[in-house]
Amino acid sequence: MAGQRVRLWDLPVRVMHWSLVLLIPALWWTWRSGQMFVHVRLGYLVLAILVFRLYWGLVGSSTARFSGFVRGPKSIGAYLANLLSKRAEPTIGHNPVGGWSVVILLLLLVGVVGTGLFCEDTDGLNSGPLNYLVQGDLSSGMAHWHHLLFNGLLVFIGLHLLAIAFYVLVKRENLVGPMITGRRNMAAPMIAPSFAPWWSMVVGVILALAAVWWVSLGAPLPKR
Amino acid sequence: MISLKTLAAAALAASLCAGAAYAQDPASIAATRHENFKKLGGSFKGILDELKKPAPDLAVIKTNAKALDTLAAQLPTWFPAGTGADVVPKSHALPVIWQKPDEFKKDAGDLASAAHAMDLAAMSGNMDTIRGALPALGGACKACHQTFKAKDEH
Ligand code: HEC
Ligand code: HEM
Repeated sequence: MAGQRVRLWDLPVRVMHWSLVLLIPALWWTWRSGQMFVHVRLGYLVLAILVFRLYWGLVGSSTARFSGFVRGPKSIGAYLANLLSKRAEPTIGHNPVGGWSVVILLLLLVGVVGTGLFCEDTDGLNSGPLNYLVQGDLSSGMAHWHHLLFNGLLVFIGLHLLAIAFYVLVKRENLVGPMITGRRNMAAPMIAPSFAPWWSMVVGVILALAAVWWVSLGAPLPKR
Repeated sequence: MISLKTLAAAALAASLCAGAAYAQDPASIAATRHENFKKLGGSFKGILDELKKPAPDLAVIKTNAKALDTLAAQLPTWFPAGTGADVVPKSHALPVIWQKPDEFKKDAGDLASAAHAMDLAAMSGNMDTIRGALPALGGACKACHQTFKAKDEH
């Protein structure tokens, strides 16, 4: 096979992906075992990842950009119709359904982190940094939404894993390897993805850290 | 989950011990207790929220610290036997409260002294003293919840 090895996922995408794989169970466990101090700190890391990821979706490498993988119903239909055909070409980057899965996972994560920032810790000391802005039932109800969105996130993580299993078992395509190495063998020649310059990574990291720092201070606004 | 099994077993054990009849309706006692805890939590939060602000209002802190001190002293009276989660499903009060009454009393006592210390700190008017009284207070909530309060399963 006249294959060619192409770069598919850039470093930030892979680091963020595998960090979330570790962080999400850790966040669940720290809550479960009552280590809310650690829970909130790990939550800040997820917030940083989210800020970076949203920024990267606008200015990152072509396989990381929302404009590159958020597709309309037509491409989704075409993709599904060809799903089981042997001739279906692997997509460079997310396929049309996978793209929406990324969007939904990110939105749910925004919801979980967003409500987490406003959550009241029953023991008081480790409430979210923005909890002081809400009172009464809104404050005590926030954990409920946090929990509900987290369960929604688990459902879509489950679907995500099923899709990967489907690719391995039915289509005989390994999607996990490329998410680790960033590279993948392609049978046919294709247009290689374009990669963002290193300095836009640095800008993103600074942006993410600044956002977390500001939120952890309680998101103070300049006094008029 | 394991905790559910443990909980069910503990619930069964407690309902056997605490089988005596009580004049007052357990559900309404538990509901009042829940209201009291909301007030307790609210007054602690009132202090914490104030301290987050650029210019904390000492009067607000004093009012909340006083309420907290009063409520904390009353806490042990909110738990007549037979009003736990085994009897009132909505309650988060674990039956172990009545199986280890000495431990529970100690935790309640720790809270009472921490809340009193906070009240004194608030009266002193010194923000650093107030902040210094926080960890012991939060620690007292946490210590008791870990052992005696069921985790929210929603
Ligand atoms: C001696 C034990 C003990 C201490 C100390 C204690 N709690 Fe609790 N708390 C409980 C128990 C038990 C419940 C569950 C009551 C029920 O559901 O019937 C509870 C429930 C609560 C609730 C209601 C939670 C809900 O499910 O909505 C709040 C809020 C709360 N506690 C806040 C606090 C705060 C704040 C402190 C410290 C300032 C504190 N508690 C200290 C035992 C304690
Ligand atoms: C991906 C990110 C996160 C995950 C997966 C996660 C997960 C969870 C889960 C499963 C719970 C239990 C909810 C319940 O049933 O009450 C919880 C509670 C909570 N989380 Fe998060 N969380 C995340 C981010 C955050 C962030 C960013 C903060 C704040 C900075 C935060 C603060 C809290 C608080 C204060 C509680 C309530 C704890 C209590 O009841 O005492 N979380 N979280």
